[in-house]
Amino acid sequence: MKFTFKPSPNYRHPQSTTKIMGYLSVALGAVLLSSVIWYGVSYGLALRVVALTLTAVVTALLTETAYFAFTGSKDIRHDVTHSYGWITAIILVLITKIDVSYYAIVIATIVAILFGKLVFGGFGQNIFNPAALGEAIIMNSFSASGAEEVTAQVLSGATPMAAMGSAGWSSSASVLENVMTSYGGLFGMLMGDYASVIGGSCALVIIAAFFYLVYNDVIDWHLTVPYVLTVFVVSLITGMANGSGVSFALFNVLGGGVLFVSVFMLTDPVTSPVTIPGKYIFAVCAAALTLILRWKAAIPDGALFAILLMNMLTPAIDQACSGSQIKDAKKIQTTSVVISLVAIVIAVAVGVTL
Amino acid sequence: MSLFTGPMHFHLDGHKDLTIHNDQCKKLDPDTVWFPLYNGVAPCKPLVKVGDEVKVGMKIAERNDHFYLPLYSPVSGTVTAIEKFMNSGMAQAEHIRIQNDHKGTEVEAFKPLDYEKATREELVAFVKESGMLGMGGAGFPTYVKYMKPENIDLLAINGVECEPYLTADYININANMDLLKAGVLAFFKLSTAKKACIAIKEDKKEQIAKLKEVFTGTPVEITAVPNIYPMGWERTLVYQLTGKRYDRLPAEAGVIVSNASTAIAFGNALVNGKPITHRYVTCSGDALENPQNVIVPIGTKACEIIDAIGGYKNGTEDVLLIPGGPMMGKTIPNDQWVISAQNNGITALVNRQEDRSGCLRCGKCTEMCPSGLQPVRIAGAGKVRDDVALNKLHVMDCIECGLCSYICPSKIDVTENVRRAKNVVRMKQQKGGK
Repeated sequence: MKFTFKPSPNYRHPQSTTKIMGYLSVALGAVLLSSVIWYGVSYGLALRVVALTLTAVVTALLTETAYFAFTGSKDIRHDVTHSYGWITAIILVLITKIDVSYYAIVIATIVAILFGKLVFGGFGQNIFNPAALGEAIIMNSFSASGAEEVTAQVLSGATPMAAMGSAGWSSSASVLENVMTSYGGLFGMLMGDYASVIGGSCALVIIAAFFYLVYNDVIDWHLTVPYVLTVFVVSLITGMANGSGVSFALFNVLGGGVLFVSVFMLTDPVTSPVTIPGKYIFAVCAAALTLILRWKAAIPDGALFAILLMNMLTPAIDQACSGSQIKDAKKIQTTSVVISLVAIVIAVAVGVTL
Repeated sequence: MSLFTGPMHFHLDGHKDLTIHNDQCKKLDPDTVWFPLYNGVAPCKPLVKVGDEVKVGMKIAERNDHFYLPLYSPVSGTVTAIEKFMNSGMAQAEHIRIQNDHKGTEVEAFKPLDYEKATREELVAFVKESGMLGMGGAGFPTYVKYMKPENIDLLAINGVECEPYLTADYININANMDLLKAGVLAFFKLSTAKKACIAIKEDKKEQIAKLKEVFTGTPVEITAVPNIYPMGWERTLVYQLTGKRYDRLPAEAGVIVSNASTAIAFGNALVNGKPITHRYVTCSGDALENPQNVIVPIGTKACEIIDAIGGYKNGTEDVLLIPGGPMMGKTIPNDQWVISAQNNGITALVNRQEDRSGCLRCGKCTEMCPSGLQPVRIAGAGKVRDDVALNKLHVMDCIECGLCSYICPSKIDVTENVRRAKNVVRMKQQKGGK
């Protein structure tokens, strides 16, 4: 028998990062399954969803294996399983449209894994959310490369966001009603009975995933809740100023990527601030940016780019909220509240001039 | 806790059921004791030499630097050597080796004292002369905090015992309620406080009920505190009881805190005229065959205690042996160290491989830190040895409670990283000559 020296404490909570990623995989699997079913029933494209996912996951694992092999890893298997690349791959598929071509998803996955994560030093070191980075590549470089046979099948093509976009984001009640009716009204949007990004439509499944992940201590509601709440409140004020009120707010929460992003991407701990006041700043600013980009920029949904932009600011936010939570509490709280309020005011100002 | 911070504490599984039910504690009387010649890190001077006969209660050593602390022999017998070896704090230290004659011949260390009649000055002198020290872990001479109490509102007796596995205080309180009562009331008089309370974790319902009975008619309240870690840390306890935070000493918040076992020892000194010679020690952990509490003389070797209770579990190959509990106790690579007055436990755990990952920056360490620190940022600044940033992060406020490592899902040694960062600051301060 031997006595081993280890620095204290020698007592650990049963939760581990590997378990966290396990829960996350289950939640992503549930969203994926709902998409497989919906695309299967609606367009007979169940297999395509599955095949896209497999393509992305295999690409991610191969990219990581190759990277660790080339960088002289001592235990490639351990490094790959503790780099959690499949999460990025699945999220990437879920935020992509069904008509994406296979080569586009392969390239996006490689970019996401290699340039989004590994070159920064691997898991935990990356600045940008890898999946968001990969999707940005697809949107900007392969937007016209949609597989034609699929585009033809998924006729309408326009997501609620795109439809409102082409209506010029007028928040007047009648335009909004027209658009919403074509997606089955509020109930239809809650159930996700329309084509959007692969995993983005069914609000109910995503909300269920949120509770599952919070219950199992995987994601931090300090990010999700302020984000969704800010989107809701800012678009509520905007809606009221333009005569459409609550429906406009709900449309903005349910119609685009807000819910999916709030549960699966905003909450990526690696690319978001570490302190709770920092998380508030991050979430509220991301929400404000989401709406501003959505309403004013030439992109269909703002959520993705809002996250990428906020990712860049994460180190600055951490710095702003740095210190002792007891001795510097006032300073940190004031910083958090002031920055959040400024973001909200700007977003509202943009909103009421729609 | 507020909307802007995490909880700054956590409920952890204490594994207390392993040892909490053995009310009949084994009392050990080893053939040899190695009486520790140190109080914390301060060395103490032996007052006996090799060949001397000693009796239980005989003053055999004292600390006499800026503090005074007399130490009394726990056994009767012959001094056979003064030996230097590793103590429970992993430092080489001197010990008086006493061959125990098992007769337990006693000598009166000091006269009992009626605290109700004694003046405050007499009581302070008594605390000092009886060698009372903090038995919760610090070992700090008790008289110091009762010397000049000013604006004290509350005397808090700490019976929280939030360290996992340990139940020594709990068992001690159950077995010695009358001594506890005497000790607490005497401390109350000494403290000049307006109120007094004994803090016990809320899940110890039976003990709370019994204590309430024992303390009826006294101004002492029994306060149930949440079953969370580190509830027993002075700052967390004072914040729980008063809602106040303080900079250096609890007295700034109008509180004096003493450990329950210290109060019992004080009661024993007052009522029976006996110094601290023995103590309750919890031996627990999954590497032991029969975890239990024992009563041992100060200076008993850890290996003798473990042998006496049935040894290590069969087939155990790799053990983490810890004086105290697993959160704040540090592993020692042998079992030849001795129990000193403030060692409340021996924890032996099977060494298991952790499933480690990279830091995912989840911020759990920051949310849990009872000192309100940001361990993840401290580790970053520590790595680049940036002492300016470390001071801004108040790194020296860390008490190494271990909660940040405990909660880390990636199983990073967060506390160790903070410890290193503290060393960076210490070294820069020394270089700067400050």
